[in-house]
Amino acid sequence: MNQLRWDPTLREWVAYATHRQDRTFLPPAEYCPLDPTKPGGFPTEVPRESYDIVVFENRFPSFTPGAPEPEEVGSPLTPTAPGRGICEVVLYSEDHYATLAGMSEGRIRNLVEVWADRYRELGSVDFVEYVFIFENKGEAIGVTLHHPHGQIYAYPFIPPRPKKELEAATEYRSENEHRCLHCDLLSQEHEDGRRLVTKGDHFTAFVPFYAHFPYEAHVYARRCAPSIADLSAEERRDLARVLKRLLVGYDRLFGFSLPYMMVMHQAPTDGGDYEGVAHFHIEFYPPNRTADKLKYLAGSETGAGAYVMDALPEQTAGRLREAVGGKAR
Amino acid sequence: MKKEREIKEDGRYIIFFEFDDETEEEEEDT
Repeated sequence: MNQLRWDPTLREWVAYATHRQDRTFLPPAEYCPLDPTKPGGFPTEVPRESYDIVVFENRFPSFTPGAPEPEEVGSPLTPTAPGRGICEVVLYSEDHYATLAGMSEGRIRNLVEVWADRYRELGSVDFVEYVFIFENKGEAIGVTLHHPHGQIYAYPFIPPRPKKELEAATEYRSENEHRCLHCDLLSQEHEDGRRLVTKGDHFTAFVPFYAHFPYEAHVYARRCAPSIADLSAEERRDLARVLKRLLVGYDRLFGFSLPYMMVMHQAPTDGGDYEGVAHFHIEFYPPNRTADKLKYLAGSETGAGAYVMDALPEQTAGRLREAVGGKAR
Repeated sequence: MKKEREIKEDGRYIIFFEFDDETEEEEEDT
């Protein structure tokens, strides 16, 4: 059952997918459903003995292409809609114990190619308005499978956070001689320098001035490219390089493989013109504020939407830059 | 990039991506 219910108080859809209660939860490594299927072994999600990078439809999707009209019809005030969309799982490697941070730049670059392919293909589906590529890593984030993988949600609407960001960028553009909000934020970070973490030839990683998590980092394309599919081959190569440096820095920060949420913000695929408004970037939200303490989204953050931080971005960026091991300025 | 699409027994699709350039070499250097 996949259905959407409209919350008129926040003006956003909430997705219900009750079958997800039954999804596989932290199986032992020898029964990982994302490993290749070995001869004589149990059948996994991947019916081959080995693989490079694999994408498949999620067995427990939050949205499905053929979602029927909901039995619950709602009301004019609180309408419902089919939970129509596509949910994919992206397997980064057949190695159960690998992490994105431990992979070569080359493999990460290949993954960038896969992400771009999925953005293009899913974005071309008529009911898909936003292709959201993300990774939840670590039990602290709530992962149910440890095998290195990410996910893609092809939503039938533009989700609230990217929508808010796009609205802000649209308003900024109209009030500032058609300038891109993200390009100006990036220029500000380059000029200031204190929050920079690492720079490549085409991408920059920094802790934003207004970070919502202590070690939040954003990876921005320096050119105003609306989506991952608009990046040149050299830009994709550089993205892999910068991601690798940042991820290695994350793991060095506290001496363990750091949990995080990784999300990509880019142009919607609803047919609109987002040139100069959408600016491809990746955001990382690690939950740790120290090695053994987490930042929780508690009353103020969840109930009021007001984040309260106990570390300044200039301080955390300095620590992260040191962990990356390079001079970013 | 080589891309091969198959349909699984339960009707879901699965796509195998293969890369044969030199960038595939692993450098476990964390």
